[in-house]
Amino acid sequence: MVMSNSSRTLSSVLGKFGIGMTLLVEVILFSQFSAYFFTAENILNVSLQLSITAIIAAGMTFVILTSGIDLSVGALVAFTGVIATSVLKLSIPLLISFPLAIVVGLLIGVCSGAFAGVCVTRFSITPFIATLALMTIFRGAAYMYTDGRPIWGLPPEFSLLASGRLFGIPIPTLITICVYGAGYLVLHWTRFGRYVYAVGGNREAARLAGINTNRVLVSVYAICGVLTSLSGILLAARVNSGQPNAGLMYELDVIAAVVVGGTSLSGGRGTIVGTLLGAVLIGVLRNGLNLLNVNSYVQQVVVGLVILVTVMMDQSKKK
Amino acid sequence: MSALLRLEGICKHYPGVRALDEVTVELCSGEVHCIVGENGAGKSTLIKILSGALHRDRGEILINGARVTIDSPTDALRQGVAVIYQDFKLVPELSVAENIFLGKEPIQETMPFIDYASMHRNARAQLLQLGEEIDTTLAVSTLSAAQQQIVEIAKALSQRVRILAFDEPSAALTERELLKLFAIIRRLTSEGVGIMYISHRLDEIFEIGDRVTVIRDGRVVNTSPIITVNKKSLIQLMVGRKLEDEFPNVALTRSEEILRVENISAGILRNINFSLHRGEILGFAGLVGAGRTEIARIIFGADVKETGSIFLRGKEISPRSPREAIDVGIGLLTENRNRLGLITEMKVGENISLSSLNGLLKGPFLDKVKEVQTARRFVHQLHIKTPDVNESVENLSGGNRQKVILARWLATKSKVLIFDEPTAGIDVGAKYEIYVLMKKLAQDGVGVIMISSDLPELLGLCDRIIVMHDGRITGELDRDAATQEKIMALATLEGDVRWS
Amino acid sequence: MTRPLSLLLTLAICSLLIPSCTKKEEGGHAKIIGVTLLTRGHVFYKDLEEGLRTEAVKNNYELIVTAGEFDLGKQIAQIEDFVARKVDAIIVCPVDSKGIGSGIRKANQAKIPVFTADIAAFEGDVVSHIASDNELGGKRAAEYLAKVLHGKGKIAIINQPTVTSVLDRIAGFKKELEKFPDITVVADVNGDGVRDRSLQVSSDILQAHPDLDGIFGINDDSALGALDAVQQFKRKNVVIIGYDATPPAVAAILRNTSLKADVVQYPKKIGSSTISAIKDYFAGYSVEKRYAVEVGIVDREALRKIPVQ
Repeated sequence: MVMSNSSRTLSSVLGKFGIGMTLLVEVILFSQFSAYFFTAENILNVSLQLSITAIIAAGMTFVILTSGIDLSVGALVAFTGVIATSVLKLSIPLLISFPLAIVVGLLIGVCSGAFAGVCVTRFSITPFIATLALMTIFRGAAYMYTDGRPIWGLPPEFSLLASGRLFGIPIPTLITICVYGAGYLVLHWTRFGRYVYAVGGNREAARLAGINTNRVLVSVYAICGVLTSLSGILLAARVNSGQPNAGLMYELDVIAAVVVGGTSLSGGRGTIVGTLLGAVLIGVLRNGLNLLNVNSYVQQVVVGLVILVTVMMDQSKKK
Repeated sequence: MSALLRLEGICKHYPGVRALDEVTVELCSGEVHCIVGENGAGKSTLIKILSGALHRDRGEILINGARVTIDSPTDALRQGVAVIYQDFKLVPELSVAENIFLGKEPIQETMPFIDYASMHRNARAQLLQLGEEIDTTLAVSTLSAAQQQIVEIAKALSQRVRILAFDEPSAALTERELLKLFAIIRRLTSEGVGIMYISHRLDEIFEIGDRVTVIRDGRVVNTSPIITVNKKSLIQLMVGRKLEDEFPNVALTRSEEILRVENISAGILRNINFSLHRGEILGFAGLVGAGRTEIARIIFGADVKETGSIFLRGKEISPRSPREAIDVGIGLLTENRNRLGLITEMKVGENISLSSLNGLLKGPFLDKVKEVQTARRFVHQLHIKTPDVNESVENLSGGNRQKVILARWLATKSKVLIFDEPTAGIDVGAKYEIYVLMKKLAQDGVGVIMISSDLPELLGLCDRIIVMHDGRITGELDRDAATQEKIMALATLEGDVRWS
Repeated sequence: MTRPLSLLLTLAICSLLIPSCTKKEEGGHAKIIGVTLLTRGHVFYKDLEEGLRTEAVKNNYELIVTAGEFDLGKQIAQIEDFVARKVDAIIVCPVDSKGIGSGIRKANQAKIPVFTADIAAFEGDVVSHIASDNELGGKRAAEYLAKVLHGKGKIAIINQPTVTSVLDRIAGFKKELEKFPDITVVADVNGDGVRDRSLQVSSDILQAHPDLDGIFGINDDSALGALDAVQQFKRKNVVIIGYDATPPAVAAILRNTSLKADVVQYPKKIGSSTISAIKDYFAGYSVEKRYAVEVGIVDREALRKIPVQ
């Protein structure tokens, strides 16, 4: 019953730093074993790679904070990608088609998210089921629309969106930073952000405190949708094509990042900074294991274990 | 009497708080031992340690003189210790019988399946022993609070409990249901069960208790036989200071009408008519389920009315959501503050400001400095016991939680405030403070409605009392004319029967 | 308002299905062949289907084309449907080489001949298996890479080790490389056969091996993902070999990118060869148990001379 003093100290120390500790251990280990890990070029490489899931994870944080979930993100990445790239294929000047592709892509995300939100609020469908349905609809639609073939032969300028650099930093990385900065402001410094936590903590109590809970829920899914579509566009730019099979299983990576970052699946608890750390943790892990040429089967096991251990340490903090 | 249970030198620390400090309490076989104390004094912590739900830092638990290990609720049950919590721990979707035998379902002799026939038979027998006839196939969620409590007791007794602890058992009960509970407790003690009874209502303690232990700030202040103390001395021991009156004596002057309700019908409600004036406290009495909460929720826009009208300062309003009601100046302190009021994941300050964030904006952003200042002012004004406004509201005791909600509504500057069971499960000191505040609000010209099942409280505080029964208003009594008997007669309509 | 809405939705879905249900099966004596592909969501199977159709039209066979879409249960049900409507032959691209056995045995019991295309079945009686020679493909890729690197260098494989045909490609590739002791495989990573994942793992490999000379992508999405990475890191000296010669890959080769050559399967030819084998079977000729459709390798020069079919 009475915990020994030393083990209590250990668990509280682990708990306090939780994910930060895991990340630190990871970085130290990889730096030891691979000379290429801790180089500026690789750090930028990792930041570029993890930007895709990190941007979605920022949106997913909003959804999970309201004790919801969005399983449709992976499929939405693919659907947005193929639609946006097919806009680029229209025979209109690039000056028009380029912004049009982005606007259309983002609109798809907003509409899809808002629709999911309406399903959850107006029709009382559980988020899991509503977004599961959207997931298969979008994946199917992406295949249907492209007939299973990628959309390619895009203007090379499009790929600049992903491969271009500003002040030496890849554009997707910069976008990720902006998204998280904005996410932090919205979540912690606006009324809407406060409402998100309140709705996730206790939806009925929030309603009785005068919060329009339905509007909050529709908004969080729309936010998640638009950020997912943003990722979808960036991913299409990275592979310079619209791939109907893009984003397979992204939903799991994204949810893992959010949960590893300390956000509670039952809502009301969590921070967007935690999510960023979670995304970085998983991204760095994948990169490091690849640098060390670890067998892909082993990689899956290792990633799973790290997720478990991090969440365990987080739990011991709460006790 | 021999000591059945002895808690010895129990200590429990939370970060920054000493919840229990060397607490020693004894319970004898066949005794009702009451534990009283203000909110946050440590009563609930003590019960949770006894039930194994919390780990103690130091101290021993002895049963019949032998040291026992209680590290989990399962351990506690094995030792014959059960706790009936304020918010019941039943599974709402399961039937009465399934709940009573949860985790120890009888198995058929021939097949490895649950023997439902014997389960329902035994459950019925168990309930009958408690003098209650409940259909054991009903889902627990369909039962009244009192019936749920009896199911809880039956559940505890089905596992041969020697020590039964009640945490605020009367919070959800009406007077009559409470009498039934006392009868059950007396039957149990006659069979040698030791009862530990925690309550804020001192009247109950004098009625049922044998001994009383007062806890203040985590320490035992006094343990004595109930006959050697009186209400006043007990209160003084609890709060550690002198208390003059149970209710604040402030004269109120009633002015113009602020709220009028005409012919409202919805659900069980039929033709509700009443009006509320500025500067008065209007009481609503009635049994649980009489429709008092329902009318409050309609005025507040949380539920929809079928027919009828609501007038605020002479202008008709029909709020379709709480937001709309708040915007025109109506507030509702809901019953069951934990389920319908607080966001337990959030901080004290955030809970206070939740309904009034519109006034705390600087451009598109929250003015957190102003938010914290406002919250601090309320914490100070309402004597909310918390280290800081950034403390998680989870770490606060019941009374302080209620004050947080109260602060939330004060911050909205509502013109009409409805209090639904504001003092349920709250200690004497905090109750008094809430009464003072309600009086102050009325003095400042707010129209106050108070729904309560505590009749002395209604009588002591309200200018008028409306009594409801089965969705209808059955009578309205002025302060001077009202008595407990008259209210009960109207609430149960027994009077009607007698007079007709 | 919800009910009429859902009714409408149901009707709409039904109307989508009707055309495929009501299509008349005419042609009197024309032979009917049931086809269940692995998926219709992939260029390769699109082409294979086209090969089947062109050859079938020539012989006046009627095709009923379905796809298992990676769902074994669905594919077995499709075979059962073919058996029920008594088709004259069945072509299967199995979702799972072992699991499909039960479906094939049902056709065997009904004495309907079964042919497998592209992916083999391990159980049940199959008249003939028509597929690309994947080992040969791997060998071709290795030969080409060795030639370009002059028999020396460090290379990486973007793998998808969960797929049997890919394992064959890798086996052929590695076996051929044994002839070149100065070529070492420094990395072998899983890109899941899709472009976005392959891009991620390729970026990591390029980081880990600044002196990398070549990459073999087990299909074109893998190779194109590697190409995306190589271009992003501006590693002009890395040679990439792909597999399948899909249009985007062919375009990349023609643009003179780092993707230098592609093993080319002839899915249309697999399709037409399958129909030919069935034709032989119907005519009573003996049919080979296994028919390997040749594969080739194409680079920029080759593509400029003869456009891929």
